[in-house]
Amino acid sequence: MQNKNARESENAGEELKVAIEARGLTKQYGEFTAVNGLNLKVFDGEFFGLLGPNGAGKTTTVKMLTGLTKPTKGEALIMDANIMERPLDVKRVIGVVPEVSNIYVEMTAWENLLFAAELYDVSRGEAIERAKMLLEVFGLYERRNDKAANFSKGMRRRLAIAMALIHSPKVLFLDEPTSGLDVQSTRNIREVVRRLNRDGVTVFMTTHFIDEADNLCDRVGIINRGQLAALDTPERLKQMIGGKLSVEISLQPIPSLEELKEVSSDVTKTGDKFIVYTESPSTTLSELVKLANVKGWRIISVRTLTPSLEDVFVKLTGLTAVDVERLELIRPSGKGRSRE
Amino acid sequence: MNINISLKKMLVIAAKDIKTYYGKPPSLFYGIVLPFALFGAFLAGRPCVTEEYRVVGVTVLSTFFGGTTIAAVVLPLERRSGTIDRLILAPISFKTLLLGKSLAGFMFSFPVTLLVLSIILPFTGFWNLNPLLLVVSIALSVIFSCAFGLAFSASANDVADVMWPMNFVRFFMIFFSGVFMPIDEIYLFMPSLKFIAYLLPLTYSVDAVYQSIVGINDLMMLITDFTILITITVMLYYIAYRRFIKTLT
Repeated sequence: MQNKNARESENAGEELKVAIEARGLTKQYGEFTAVNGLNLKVFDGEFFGLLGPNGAGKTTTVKMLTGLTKPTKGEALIMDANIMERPLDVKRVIGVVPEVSNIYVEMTAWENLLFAAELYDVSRGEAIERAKMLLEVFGLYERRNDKAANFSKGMRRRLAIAMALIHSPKVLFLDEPTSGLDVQSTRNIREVVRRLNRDGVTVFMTTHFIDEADNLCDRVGIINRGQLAALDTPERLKQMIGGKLSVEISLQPIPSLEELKEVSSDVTKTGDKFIVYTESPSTTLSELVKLANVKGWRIISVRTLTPSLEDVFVKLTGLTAVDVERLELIRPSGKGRSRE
Repeated sequence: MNINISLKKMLVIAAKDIKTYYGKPPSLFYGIVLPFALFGAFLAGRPCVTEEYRVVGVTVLSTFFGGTTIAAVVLPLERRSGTIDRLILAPISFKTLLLGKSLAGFMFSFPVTLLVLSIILPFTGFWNLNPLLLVVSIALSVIFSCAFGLAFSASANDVADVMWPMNFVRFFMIFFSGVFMPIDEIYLFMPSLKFIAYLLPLTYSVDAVYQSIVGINDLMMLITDFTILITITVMLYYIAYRRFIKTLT
């Protein structure tokens, strides 16, 4: 429960141990600036999400933080060690899962894991033990002797993550870990990563899935056009942008819009539901219940809606709702305002 | 980094490359089929070439194409599949990584060349052959070839991007370095251009192998051969290292 401790300590204003730090990280490719002066601290045991549209600079940020690319300006520190000055020390404590599942398809899952273990000086006995455990956790043990070429995209992804964990890293970088995966693989990966974080591993994850960041991360940074547009806990980010609160209600028989305007003038109808915008959801809710009793309507469902992380994302990145829909095509569950 | 750990990691990388890339079509074609096809074509066209030059030719072609090809194939394939990132992200120095890659080339070309020679030599009458010197000459030639392939491929993303310029240089070298016939004969009609041969490192590889097979006839030249091959190999590794580092910027 180290991450919880980290949050509690943060609230108490205590000095926290920094696991990942970006100081003015900048990356330029010719005239194009992919990341511009990024300053960021991720605390030990924290689950941090970097959210942003495609091309915002998420992958470049991970590459600079892990030593895959040299920053044009600024520096990256992992556990107080500068990646450019002490690369081997840093690489020993980090596990990295890049956007592309970088496994050797000509080798079996078992061979891939043992090869990764040898790269990190994991002893033979420990490597075998960990490889077995990781393959079981990721549901690949039965297929351990199959060449990775025969694996589905989800299985390859799970194997890539298992390889990144073979040396028990203290800090795990995940670049779009569930992008384009089936539901089973996505759930498996999220569950394993959540468990790792609970066990004290600091997780730095990039994603363009808003619900993923909202559900998994202690804090979220929103990056747009190479710059950090916002950085806070998901809930504080939602509060930050303000916006209208509302009550969503479904009634039987379905009343007319005019009838509901007795409660509030700002009502819209979506499908068989009504959304009543309000400053005070609790007052509106009791008025709606009272109206339903008077009119003899049966309440099928009711819930209050607050601004979602998607609203924050849209506001800060300047994307339209249609753009966000496109980003979330694979998992439509993350759309819309958050339910409470 | 501890030298034992570096050596172990070089072997780990080389062993993985052997398992993963030796059977790939570009490795087999450019590393084995092409040099022997070239040699066969040359013999068919020039049957008058002396026996010792046949053996020297096939030996040098085998070392040169085998060593250069594996090094040139492995890195672009790793880069294209993204697996090179796994090696870059591992706690291994880039020098160890590149040496591991060239070790894979060595472990391909060296045994293939020895195998070919062990088949050919019993049918020849080279009683002055110096086995130790031959093994050293072949090993040095292979190491030079691996460094050569690595220097070309250190920043490439695709095998084709490496093979086109590298084949241009490789063919130029094999035709002007005395691989198929003595240098004097190559430049018979233009002796003033003979200096070209001495600018090409493969010339020293050819001479070292030649003297190992027919007997040492010029010790100074043999020492020069080894010195130049080692110097050029070190330079090529440095170039490969700089080019590799540049891909990270």
